[in-house]
Amino acid sequence: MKKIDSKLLVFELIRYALIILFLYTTYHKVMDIDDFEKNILRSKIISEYSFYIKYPLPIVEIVVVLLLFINKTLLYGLYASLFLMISFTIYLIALNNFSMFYGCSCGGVFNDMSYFNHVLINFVTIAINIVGIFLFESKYAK
Amino acid sequence: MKQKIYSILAITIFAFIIVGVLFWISLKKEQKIEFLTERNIINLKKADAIDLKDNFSQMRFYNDELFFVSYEDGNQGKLYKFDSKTKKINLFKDFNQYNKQGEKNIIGEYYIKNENDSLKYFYKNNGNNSFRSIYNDQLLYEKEFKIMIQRIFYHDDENSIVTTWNPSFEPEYYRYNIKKQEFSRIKFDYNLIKNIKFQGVALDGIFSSNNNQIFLTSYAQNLVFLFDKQFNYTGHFTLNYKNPTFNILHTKEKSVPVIDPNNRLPNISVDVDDQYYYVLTNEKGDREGPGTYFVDRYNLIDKKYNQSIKIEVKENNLAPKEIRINKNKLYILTKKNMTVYEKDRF
Repeated sequence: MKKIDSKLLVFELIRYALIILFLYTTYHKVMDIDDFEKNILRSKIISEYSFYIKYPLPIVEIVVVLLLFINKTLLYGLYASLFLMISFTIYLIALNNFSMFYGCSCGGVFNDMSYFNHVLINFVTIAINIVGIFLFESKYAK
Repeated sequence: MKQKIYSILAITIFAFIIVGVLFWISLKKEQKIEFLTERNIINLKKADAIDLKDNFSQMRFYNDELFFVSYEDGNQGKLYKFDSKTKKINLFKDFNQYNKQGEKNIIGEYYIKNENDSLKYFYKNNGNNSFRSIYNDQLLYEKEFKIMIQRIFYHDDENSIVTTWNPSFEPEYYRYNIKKQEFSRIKFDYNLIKNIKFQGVALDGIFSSNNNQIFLTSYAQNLVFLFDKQFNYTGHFTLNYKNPTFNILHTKEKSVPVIDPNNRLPNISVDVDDQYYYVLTNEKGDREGPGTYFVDRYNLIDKKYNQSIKIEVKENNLAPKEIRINKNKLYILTKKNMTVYEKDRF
C-alpha cells in the first residue's frame, strides 16, 4: 500500500485553498466590476487610482492563480499571493483607522464581513501562506 | 530555509512600502479648513468623564434625561437611556418587537414627545426608509415615505420638515403631513447655493432647534439654513470658515455616483440654545480620528462667531462625534466615552 506523504498533502491543501480564495474574489470582482470600482472610489487612499486598480488587480490575481497552479512557478505563486495578502491587510488596517469606510473591495462574502473578522481571516491566510512557503520543496516544482 | 525567511521579510517590507507611500500621499493632500478669524479659545472646567463601555450615537435630551441609540451588532432598533446615578447606559425600549419578518430596524433621527402624560416615540427607520411611531407600547403607525428622505425635523404627526435631493442633486425641502401622507414644497433661495457643486448632497446635514427657530446645518459647507416654527425658510447664516470643495465621483460604466472620500466635512455635530449656536468641528474637516477638534460658538443675535473650546485628540476612540447642550453643561460624546463640561463661561 502506498504511504501518504502528509507533508505533501498539507502543502497541496494550502496550495488549492489559496487558488480557490483568489479565484473566488476575482470572480466576484469581475462579475460586478462596477461595484468593485464603487468600493475603490469610496476608499480614501486609492480612490484616485481606480482606473489603475479596477482591471489590473483581477488580472494580477489571475496571474497569481496561474503561478500557483503550474508546478514550475509554484514558489513564485506562493510569494506573490503572500505579497498580495500582506498588502491587502496593511491597507485594510490603515484605512479602518483613518477613514470612515473600512475599505474592503475583495468581493463576495468578504464585502459583508466585519472589519475584525476580515482582518482575522487575512492573518490566518497569511499564516497558511507562510506555512505553504516553508513546506515547499523543490521536488514539488517538477 | 534562510533564503525563504529573507524572501518573506523582503515581501513584507515591500508591501509596507507600497501601502505606506499610498497612505502618505493621501495624508499629504489633507489641508486645514481655513478659519476666517483667529479662534477665541477658552477653557472649560471638566465636570465629569464617563466610560460608557459601548459605542453609542444619537445623543438626545428629553426632559433633562439623556437618550442614545447604538449601531453595534445586536443593538440596532433599541433606545438606550443614561442613568445619572449609576452613570451607566441601560436599555430603555426595544422597538424590534414591532418588526415584520425580516424587516430591518435601524433608528435614524428620533424624537420623544409627551402626549397625554405618555411618551410617544417617533423615528426614521433607516432600514427601509419609513417612519415609525410608538405610543403606549404599541406601534401607532409605520409609514413609508413617498419620496426618498434624507433628513427629518419632526414636530407632530401633521407637521414636519423633510429634506431630499432630486436626480440633478438639487436639494428639496418639504412640509410633510405624516397623517395624511401629504407634502408641499418649501420656498427656498436657490440663488444662495448656485455656486455649490452637487448641492443636495453637499448641503445634507443636521436639524436642530430652539424655542424660536429650526436650523439645518450642512455637514460639508459653511451654510446654516433657518426655518421658522411654521416651517417657512427665513434665511441663513454663514459659519466662519472658507468652504472646502465638495465632489462626487462616478463609476465609468454605469455612472454610479460615489461621494468622494477625500471631501472635507467640517460640521460634525450641532446644538443650539436660545442665545447661541454650537458646532463641533475638526481642524482638517475629518469626522473621526486623532487631531484638533473645536466647539465653535456663534451668537444668534448677530449670527457671528465669538468663542471656541479646543480639544486635542491623540486616540481614535477619544475623537468627539456629538455635542449636546443642556442647562449649564456641554456634553461631548466620543466612541465609548462622554465628557461633561461646566458651560458657565461658554
